[in-house]
Amino acid sequence: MSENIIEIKNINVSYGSNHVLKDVNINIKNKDFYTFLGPSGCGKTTLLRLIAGFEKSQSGELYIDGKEVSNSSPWERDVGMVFQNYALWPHMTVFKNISFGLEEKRLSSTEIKKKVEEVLELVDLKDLSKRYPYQLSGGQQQRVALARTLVVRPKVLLLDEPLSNLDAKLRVQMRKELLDLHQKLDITTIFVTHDQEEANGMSTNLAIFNEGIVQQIGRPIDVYNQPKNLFVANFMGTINVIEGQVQNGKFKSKQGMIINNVTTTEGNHSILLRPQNLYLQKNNNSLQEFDAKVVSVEFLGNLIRYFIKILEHELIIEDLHEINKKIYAKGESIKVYLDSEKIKIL
Amino acid sequence: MFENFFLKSTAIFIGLFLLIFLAVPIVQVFYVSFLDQNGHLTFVNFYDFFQSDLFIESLYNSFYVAFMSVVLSSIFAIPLAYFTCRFNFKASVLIQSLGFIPLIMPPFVGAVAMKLFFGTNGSVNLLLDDWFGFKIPFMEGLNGVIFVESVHYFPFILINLITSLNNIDRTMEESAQNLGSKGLRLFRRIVLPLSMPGYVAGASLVFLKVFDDLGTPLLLDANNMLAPQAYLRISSIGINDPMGYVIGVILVITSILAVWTAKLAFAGKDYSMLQKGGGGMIKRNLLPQQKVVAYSVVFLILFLVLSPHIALALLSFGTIWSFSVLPDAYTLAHYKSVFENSIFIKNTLLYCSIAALIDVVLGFFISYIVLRTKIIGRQLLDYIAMSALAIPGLVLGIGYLRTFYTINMPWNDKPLATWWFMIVIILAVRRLPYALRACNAVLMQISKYLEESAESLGAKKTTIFRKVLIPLMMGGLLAGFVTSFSTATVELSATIMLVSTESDAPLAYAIYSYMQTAAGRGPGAGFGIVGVCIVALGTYLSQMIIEKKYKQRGMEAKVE
Repeated sequence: MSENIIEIKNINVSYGSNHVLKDVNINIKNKDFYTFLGPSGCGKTTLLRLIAGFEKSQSGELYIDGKEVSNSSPWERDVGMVFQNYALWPHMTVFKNISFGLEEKRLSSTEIKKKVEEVLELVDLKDLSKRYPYQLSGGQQQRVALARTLVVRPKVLLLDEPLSNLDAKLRVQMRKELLDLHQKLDITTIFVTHDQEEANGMSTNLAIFNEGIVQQIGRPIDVYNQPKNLFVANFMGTINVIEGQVQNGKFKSKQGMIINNVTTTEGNHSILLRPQNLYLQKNNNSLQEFDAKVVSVEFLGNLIRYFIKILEHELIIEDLHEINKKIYAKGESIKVYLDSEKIKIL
Repeated sequence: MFENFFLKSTAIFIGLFLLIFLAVPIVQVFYVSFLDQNGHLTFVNFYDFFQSDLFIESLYNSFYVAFMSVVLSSIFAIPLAYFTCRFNFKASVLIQSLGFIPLIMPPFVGAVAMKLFFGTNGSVNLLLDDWFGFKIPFMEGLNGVIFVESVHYFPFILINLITSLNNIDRTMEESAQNLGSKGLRLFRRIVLPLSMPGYVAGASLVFLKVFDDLGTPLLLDANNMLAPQAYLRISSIGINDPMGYVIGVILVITSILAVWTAKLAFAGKDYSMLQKGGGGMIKRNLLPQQKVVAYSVVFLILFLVLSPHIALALLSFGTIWSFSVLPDAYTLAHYKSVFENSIFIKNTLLYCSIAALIDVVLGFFISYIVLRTKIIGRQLLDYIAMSALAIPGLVLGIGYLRTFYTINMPWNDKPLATWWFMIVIILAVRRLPYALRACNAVLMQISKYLEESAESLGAKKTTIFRKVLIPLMMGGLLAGFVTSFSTATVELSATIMLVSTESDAPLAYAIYSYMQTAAGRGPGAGFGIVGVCIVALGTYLSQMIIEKKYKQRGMEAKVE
């Protein structure tokens, strides 16, 4: 067995003329917490449903645990899916919902009882086994859905935007619980979300999708630091983009902004610069200095966000906020510094 | 202050109306069933009922017929519902619209015509005998009642089942598949239980309708059933015969039990609440062989559904039709006599429009009082008005006869029960639930803020009614009017007790009495066709009104 539990090779899916997934290639390591990240309609959920067997691909191969499964039915795949709306059966109690999969595996009733109780303990729902789904809160329903899937010990756990139906506070708590469960059970997990914060915070690896194409694959931190294109850079947080030309290690924008020590090929390039990598103080001598004007100021609590103008470039700076630190006002002329080591050149 | 007074007195007025014209007659029926000849309370009538072989047989037959009609209706409805919801099937639209066709004609209208089509010497059996040398006793005895009722009432199951199946979120099935379930097992464990509420609702409605039906067994000569027995006792022995009342009590209790069981079986199981996505079951394409089977089933059932209408039309245009597949020749003579006796049609149009008007006015005020005021007992008003659904028309008719026969009209000293306006009132009471539901549905969709903003601009309640609510509710009110009107035109079991002279009789009564003689069948069928046309036109109009009214405003049409 290879170290990849899931191998997706050249997968294409289209509905009529609508090409939903284009030549997708992804390998997912055993015990990984893998995230499919992207805006709605990017194909991430389709890929998840394809792995579960609810969608068919027009071409390509899909291996689960070394076996090609493109033509096997959902019930033959041994992957567990938690649906976005939980999909709990309203006519069954919590216990019955959870025992369903075990009954389908024809386990004895004593074994079923033991396993259901274990999993109920795991998700902290021991006292609710006789309730019906409509008697549970959203968070509890979520746990039941999770328990129902985990109890059959699938090879892979698929989570389709599992946190989107919860309120903000519960979402943060469930995030932690999901990670704890993942560690405790050592189960490969694929997580679908459109929220980059969730993706960054939870996954060991992620794939960013847009318009059916995988844009970049990697560890969250690498993807954040080294975005391969503008879409990825923008999707993984705020970023400043300056377009221009490089000549002799010097970047020059159309509006005349010049950045020194740019090591890349000659020609047209974009400079990508995170808001936290523009400084208002000169911390060391290698920094380059620019004259700027404050356009507007947003107080965000931990950060102050300045919208500034250098020549004709509108840029964003995020400055850590501390008590008694100077806050510049709208219209003020300021000095801005940047470190050419911390820019990304495309 | 004045407004509150106005609404309160309206509530009291409606309460009194329902008390006098719904509660009192029913209580009368119950009360009389416990009276002996000397006016003392007793159980002897019930004892007598269970001592009589005829009544025991009738009781058994009524249950048997109602139960078997549910079975046969299910056999018609389940495959259709399943095809529509499971497969990508072009005939789905056809099925869903043909589902409504039988509802525009009550079963008794087509009963005699069905005999000519499916009877021992009817068209179908003559053909079967010719081609294969055997006959099927579709219409023998109770079979006939079961067959006719099922053909008419199976849409109740079909519509409810389709709604239920379409409400099943596809993730319900997907999550089961994900956990290793498939095929029949998945169907039995997930789809079947989730569609049960719809099925039981439809089935109990069929049971109730069949159990209470009077016209069909009478016209098919299946008189040893409860409803016909009650009618025959009262109409032949007189309004003092206790057996009619005992049967009435049994009919009411059974109806209420049927409704109650259906409710109880699914108390607190509002499945739709938890199924957010909707979208219905996972759809599949049909294989070529499956397509052949599916289409044959659909066309067979389509033929059955349309057969009462076709047979009725043939009967109304045919000269002599007996021992032959089709009538010997065709004529317009029957329609000539229909128009010579158009008094029945005029009566019906008059009675039903007044009744429907009463329904809409009452329905509007009841729904307003229930949804927008805090008047004590408002829910009770709603329950009582809706309970008319569970009261068999025949029993209400008997109750009216008993209650209002002893009261004389002041102007001509005739019993109140024989006054034509009582037919209007009984129709209004019977059809009030339809109008009320329509009013409720629209009022529930109108935001309270629309009224409150008018109020804050200084408008009085009457102005708000006139300028805000009634214009907004117009679609619903019209739909309620048309539904009440068109279903009232073919109501027989309630009015049959109250028709005192031919000149006061409505259309349904005319159909019934004409159909009883061989010579009258042609004109009777003609009247039937007229009735069907009125109802069909009404149904069509109400659909048009709802769609137009709501599309204009971009509101969703949710009026039933």
